[in-house]
Amino acid sequence: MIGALIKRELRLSLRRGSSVVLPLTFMALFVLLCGLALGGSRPELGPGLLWLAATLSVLLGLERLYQPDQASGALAQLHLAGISSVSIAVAKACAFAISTLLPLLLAAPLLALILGMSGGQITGAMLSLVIGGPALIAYASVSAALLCAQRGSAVLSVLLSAPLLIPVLIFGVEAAQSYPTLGLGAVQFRILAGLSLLALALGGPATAAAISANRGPA
Amino acid sequence: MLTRFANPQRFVRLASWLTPVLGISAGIALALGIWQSFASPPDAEHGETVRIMYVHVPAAWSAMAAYTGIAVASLISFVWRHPLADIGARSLALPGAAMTALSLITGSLWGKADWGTYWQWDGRMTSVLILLFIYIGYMAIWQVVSDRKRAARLAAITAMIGWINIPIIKFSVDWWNSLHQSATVSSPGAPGLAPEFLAPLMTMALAYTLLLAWFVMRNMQAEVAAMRRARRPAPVATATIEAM
Repeated sequence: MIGALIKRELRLSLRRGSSVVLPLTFMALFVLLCGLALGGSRPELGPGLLWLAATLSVLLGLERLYQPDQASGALAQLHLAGISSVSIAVAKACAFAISTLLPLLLAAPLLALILGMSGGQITGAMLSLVIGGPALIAYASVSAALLCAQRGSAVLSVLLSAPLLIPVLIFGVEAAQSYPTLGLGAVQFRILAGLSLLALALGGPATAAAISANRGPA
Repeated sequence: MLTRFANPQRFVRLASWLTPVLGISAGIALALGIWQSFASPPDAEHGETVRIMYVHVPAAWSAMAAYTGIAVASLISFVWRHPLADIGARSLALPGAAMTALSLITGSLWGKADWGTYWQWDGRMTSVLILLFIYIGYMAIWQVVSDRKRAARLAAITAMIGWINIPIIKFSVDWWNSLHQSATVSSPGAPGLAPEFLAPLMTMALAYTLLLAWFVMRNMQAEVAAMRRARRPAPVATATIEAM
């Protein structure tokens, strides 16, 4: 059931087109602007910039996650079809990760080369994004589900998820920076993995509860 | 206890005498605490700036206590749909945010005088700043969602998730090397505080707690009164129906 839902989400986002291209373009432009503003190749800032770009692109996609389906009544139809809110939350989060985070991960090495990062730094940044990515997705999906019934609440959902993302951002950047010297055994990687697991454990039920709370007439 | 105050009438009766008692005792404790803070001797190491501590530490304590209160009340509201719990949680938000802002401001003044910098990007300061943003987000949910019951449930989910920040604040000074000193009063085996500093600190902590309780009770009374007023039919409308 979750597989069918994921397929539906991916098909929808492919047909929209913009939802894959937009975050990619945004991330590339962001890194380009930062490179220009901060004065050319700054490999020491690379992990931070890549993490910032990934976080901002995820926040940019928040509004697309639940709002269209809530507005069109698709969420209510899925509920009537007997699909639990948890399945919807898991499927939406997986599809969001595939359509938003995966293209960013594929583009990240190229952007890292623009910033002049070395091989070890690029690997560290990629690994930290892979390990910390679930936390980004989990918190983003909670705040998207909380406000899906409110029109024009994009800024507020960014405000809600950003405080929760700050620890992930801190340890993600630290893990990426410690990779060239300490490798995957660095304590920051373990903390990042812990944060991701905690976010998944909290985010799943909370997203499902938020979907249920937004059901029905306002 | 939970079911007892499911009836707002009982709460109104309790609040009618408890609120003035809380307010007056908060005023007395605050006056005593301020007098004690200025009467206490300056510290050997920090000099006169030690007096900032009497404002800063209770503010930080009550900010965390207020958020924990919001999280517990949100849990009660979410699980048992207790009518007063979400009013209580909502009433704690504004004073809690004010306490957080106060502890950040006094903390940075202390930092300038003592460490030579207003701000340092370490665990304690960053996590308290995050707490302020969580408070703002929590209040924004109440503002944005128009349906009251839905707003209560969504705000409760937000508050419960945001609670993971509280242990991070508490243990940040142990987990990271920080300019901020580690727990002095509460940890067992710590050198502790000399009695002449501890006395004003404890009086101020009591005063802040009473003040917080008074704010919350006043706000809850106002909310209950507003809800009753909203439920009562408008007098003009009834008159027209009777005339017809």
